[in-house]
Amino acid sequence: MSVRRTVAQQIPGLVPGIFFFAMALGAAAGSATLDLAVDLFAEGSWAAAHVEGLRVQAEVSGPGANRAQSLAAVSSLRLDAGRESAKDVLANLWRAGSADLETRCMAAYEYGLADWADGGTNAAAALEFAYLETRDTPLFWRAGCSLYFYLKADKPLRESRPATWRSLQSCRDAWPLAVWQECRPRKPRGPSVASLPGRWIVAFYRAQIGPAIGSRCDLQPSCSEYFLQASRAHGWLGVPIMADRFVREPSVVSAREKPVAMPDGRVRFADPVSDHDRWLKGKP
Amino acid sequence: MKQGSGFGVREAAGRAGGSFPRRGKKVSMAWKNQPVFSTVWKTIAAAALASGWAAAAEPARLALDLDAEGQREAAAIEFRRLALAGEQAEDAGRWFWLAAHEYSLGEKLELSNQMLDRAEDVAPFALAVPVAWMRAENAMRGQDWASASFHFDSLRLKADADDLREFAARGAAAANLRGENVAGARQALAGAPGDLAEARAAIDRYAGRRDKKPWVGGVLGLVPGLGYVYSGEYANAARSIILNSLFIWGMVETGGDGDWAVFSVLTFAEFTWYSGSIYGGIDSAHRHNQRRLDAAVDEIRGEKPLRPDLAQVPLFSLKFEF
Repeated sequence: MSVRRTVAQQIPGLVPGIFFFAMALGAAAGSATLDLAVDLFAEGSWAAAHVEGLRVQAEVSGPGANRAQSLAAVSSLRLDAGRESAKDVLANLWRAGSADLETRCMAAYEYGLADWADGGTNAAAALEFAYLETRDTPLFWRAGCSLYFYLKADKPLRESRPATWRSLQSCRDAWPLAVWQECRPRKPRGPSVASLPGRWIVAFYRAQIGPAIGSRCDLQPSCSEYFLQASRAHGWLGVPIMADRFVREPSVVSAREKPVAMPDGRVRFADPVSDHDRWLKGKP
Repeated sequence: MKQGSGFGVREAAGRAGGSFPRRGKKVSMAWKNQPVFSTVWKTIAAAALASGWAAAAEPARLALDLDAEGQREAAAIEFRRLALAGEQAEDAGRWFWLAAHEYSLGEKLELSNQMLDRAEDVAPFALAVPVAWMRAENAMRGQDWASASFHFDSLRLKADADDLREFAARGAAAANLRGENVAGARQALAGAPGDLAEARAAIDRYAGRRDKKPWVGGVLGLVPGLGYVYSGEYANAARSIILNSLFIWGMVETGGDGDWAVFSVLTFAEFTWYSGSIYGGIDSAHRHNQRRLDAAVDEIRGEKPLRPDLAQVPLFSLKFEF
């Protein structure tokens, strides 16, 4: 996992706030052409929303194109793909006087969050712009709450913006609890301690043994991945689950059920962990 | 299973004056064991295409091509685009239904159900039968047996063709059996049209035998391999016995020689095999029970493809070979 992604997980608004953004954009769109892109965004289909946003951007002009561009860029951020160019797009939208004010505010808010996640220096200015300029209440709450947490963690920055800080403190009581929870920075959750031995064994196998003997497993997922998944899900129980698979492997292969065509042309046989640990989780 | 063959949407469009490239005569088997399901959605696509949507023909072709390539989500998005662009409510409903179908095939059941909601919102009652059908299949895929049974019952009530009612009854029986409701499964078949003797016999056979007890498998697994034997997995049992015997022998030899480093490694490995024998004893009992249930459900649902309700989509009749 990249450092950037780890940091991004601590920043508010990247995962929650999806519906807020989609609703705000949908309300601002005022055009049927962006409906599908907004729906896809609200569903969390980032890649599809990104493509759809670009498609609408190419088809329309004026404010609609700006909104579509904003949605495509935010989808790209959610995907964690093309992050820098997406940030550039949002920064341009924020600073461009040609876009309508609400689109600029939304772009500034999203850019501020992304810049905060990346440890940039423009986050405060972007969030402050969104907080001070927007006429959209949910965006006003979120931009304010995010800016509050951002400034709270940085005393010099806070002291350089005394009026904004006083304003944030005076209106913080109006923010709903859900907004507080959404905007609060979260610490990333690491892997469970119980899964560590399994992860070490697999890491050793993949680094030292796998390259020497090549890909030998006929099952999908591969045995090392299976062990990893089982260890993640069940800690030390991953050991007997893996041993059971080693014993079963020839029978599963000879049964030739559930064939899976791999990208390299090989055929493997599906044997997911979920087929063998349902009873550990209880009935669905 | 036996494979049905018939007219897909391209053949139907060809008859209706469309110009789809032909790509084989087989009905898609992407929805495993339910050829009729594929048939119905293609029928609806054909109805949608052949009902004078000249402007929408190109996007529909793209969606169908994406479907043919197995790009379910992309196909669903194309169908949604058509739905949003549709001017007639019923047409939009059909496109939403097709999007729901694609999402369902792509295992995005929540989205599929959302599309069904939209289909019903824009065209209430017009798609009652296929919507009920899709909801039932989604519930089956999501292992929500109570909902699946409800929707199959709903389908049975809404259907006006005997073969569709039979299909619904079989589905409801299968859902009940998966939900461990044998009486409900029998009840679902009661009074249903068609020859259901085999399905009833499958329920009787299933109910007449007992499941393996996982705890017994686990206890027997304390003796390496015996847990597998309990569930009839003799090859696995043999491998478990051999592996455990080899490593125990290695432990005894290295311990006797005082080679404690190798002894430690072999002990760890033996712990792995031994714990695997216990886990395998439990899991093999579950596997055995699951296989038994799967076989019964397959028999109940049958291999007979059904004819879609042509009153809903009156374009062409489907012909299947058995």
